[in-house]
Amino acid sequence: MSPLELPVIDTAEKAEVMARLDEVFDPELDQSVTSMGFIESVRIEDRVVDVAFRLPTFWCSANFAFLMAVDMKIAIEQLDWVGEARIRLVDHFAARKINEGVARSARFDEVFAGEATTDLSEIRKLFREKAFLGRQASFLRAMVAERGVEAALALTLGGLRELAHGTGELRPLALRYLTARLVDGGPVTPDAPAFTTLAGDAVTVERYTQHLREIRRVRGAAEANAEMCRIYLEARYAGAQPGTGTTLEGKRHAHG
Amino acid sequence: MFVTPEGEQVLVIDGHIHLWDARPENRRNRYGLTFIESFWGSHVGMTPKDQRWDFDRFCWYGIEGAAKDLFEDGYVDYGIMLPTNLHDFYVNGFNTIQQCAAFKEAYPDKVILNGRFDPRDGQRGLDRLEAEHERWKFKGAKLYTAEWNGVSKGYSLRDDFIAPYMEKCRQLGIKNIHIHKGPTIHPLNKDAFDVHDVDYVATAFPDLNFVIDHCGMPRIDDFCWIAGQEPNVYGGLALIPSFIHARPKYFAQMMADLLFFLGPDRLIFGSDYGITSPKWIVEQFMAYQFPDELAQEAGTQLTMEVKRKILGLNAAKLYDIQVDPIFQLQVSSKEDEGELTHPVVAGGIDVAA
Repeated sequence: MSPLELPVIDTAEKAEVMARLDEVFDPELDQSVTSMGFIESVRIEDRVVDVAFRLPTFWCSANFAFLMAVDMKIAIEQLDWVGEARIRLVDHFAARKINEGVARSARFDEVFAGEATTDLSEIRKLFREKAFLGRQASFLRAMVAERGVEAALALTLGGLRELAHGTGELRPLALRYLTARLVDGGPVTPDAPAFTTLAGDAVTVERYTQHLREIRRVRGAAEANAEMCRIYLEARYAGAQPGTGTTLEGKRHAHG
Repeated sequence: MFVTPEGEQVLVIDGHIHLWDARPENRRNRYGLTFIESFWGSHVGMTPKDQRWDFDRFCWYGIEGAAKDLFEDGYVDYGIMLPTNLHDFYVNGFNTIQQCAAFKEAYPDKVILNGRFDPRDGQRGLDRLEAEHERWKFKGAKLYTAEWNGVSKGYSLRDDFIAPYMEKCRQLGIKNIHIHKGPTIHPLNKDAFDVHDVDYVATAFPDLNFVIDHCGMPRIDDFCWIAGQEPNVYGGLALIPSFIHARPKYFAQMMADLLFFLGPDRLIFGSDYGITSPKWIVEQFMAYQFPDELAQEAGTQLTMEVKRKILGLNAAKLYDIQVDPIFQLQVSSKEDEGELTHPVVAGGIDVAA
């Protein structure tokens, strides 16, 4: 559970915006920006949506911050009643540059000309692939617990779809994995294997133990990072900041 | 030295300590404040409530404060200092060799002072390293690949200006190269946390030891992979044992992965002092046991033998510290404590396939 209370959703529009933000992920952690407690406020005036977000530290990576800001803008502007989404990163070493850059839809290497030399497509791909493996690890573990190794590995993409849209307990994990599997891991025909390597090879019973260790390590790292971020974020909101330039105006926290 | 309830004495070498100065008068700009605030977040988040400091002490604990926290209360027999300059943020630097040297001078038998260099400084940097080594006789040095330097926003260990520095270290007998691959100061470029350059330099310089501080966290998965293949790569644990209080589950997972891929002989304890004190970490670490399932995954339980290695014996080897026989492994302990055969060491599992 997030230590932070989410902003009060008082209108239908706001609920729509929050729903869009639920679909925006911290690429490094593969957790949504809402579940991580990054969203500081959402304000709507006419057709303009203003979103403020805050990361766990002043020094969090500029590239991930940039990606999240871009994704938030795109996600919110997909709502047909929205004219413009203004994304504001606050309390961050690169806040001004990121906010201005995202507002004019500039690329990362344009915004940080002279400091960064490539755009972020490579890093986006790297973490999308890690997310594929991490989600597979969670889902595969649950499948094996329910059905055993052999039956789990026999699952087809069609079968995965059914689970993802079904009513069973596996649904949330299946849906999360399906979203990633439709992008990575080879062919997506209904009879294609659900569990594949990034290269698209089916995970066989013989390779299962080894494969599981590989992908669990990826999931474990992302989860531990997410915990690290939560620790920092809690501290940041828990009034831990002693007499500084940073005010946590109107911010509530769970720790008394 | 930590003494178990059964009376066993355990050598403790803290492989990652600092003596920093983040007092207001030393802060050059707002960054000096925000930087120490980020550290403070870690202190508050990790440290048990009754052992937290106040912010003023966190900014400056001084030589006597450090001696009390480490040697008097924290069970530490030797502390390895890893200097950090940060002149852009702090007037006299944050934790420079000079600042650390004062601690070394006060406690010469307990403090191990490492050097630091930036391989982008060319010949000037090499000369300075040599002069500093002449004075302090380093056995190790610290590098920050994500550090900014003029127009450069970080470097890779594959860069061609690295080799002259590694050669210089070999020549001077600086055999332990600590590389900061963890939460970083100016994370900007593509992936400031990338650890893939480590295997390149470790292969190129097999007679140097590379201690990867914070085990590459947040890229601990990649680190495990690389370190599993390179016998001269060590995991500097600092930060990971600190999870033991606030997030024991994640501490256990990370330790299990590290033990599986690196084995118990290549992990070096560190408290990251003054992020927090070693006292509570050592106490909780000594009391900790993996659940059975994790012990299977790790290939070993956290036995007394494994703990002895991680807490002190591994670092003692790297730094040529004479170890009293009372701290050495008890030969008979292996079977008694049910240590499993380590699959990587035993070559039983081909993890590369």
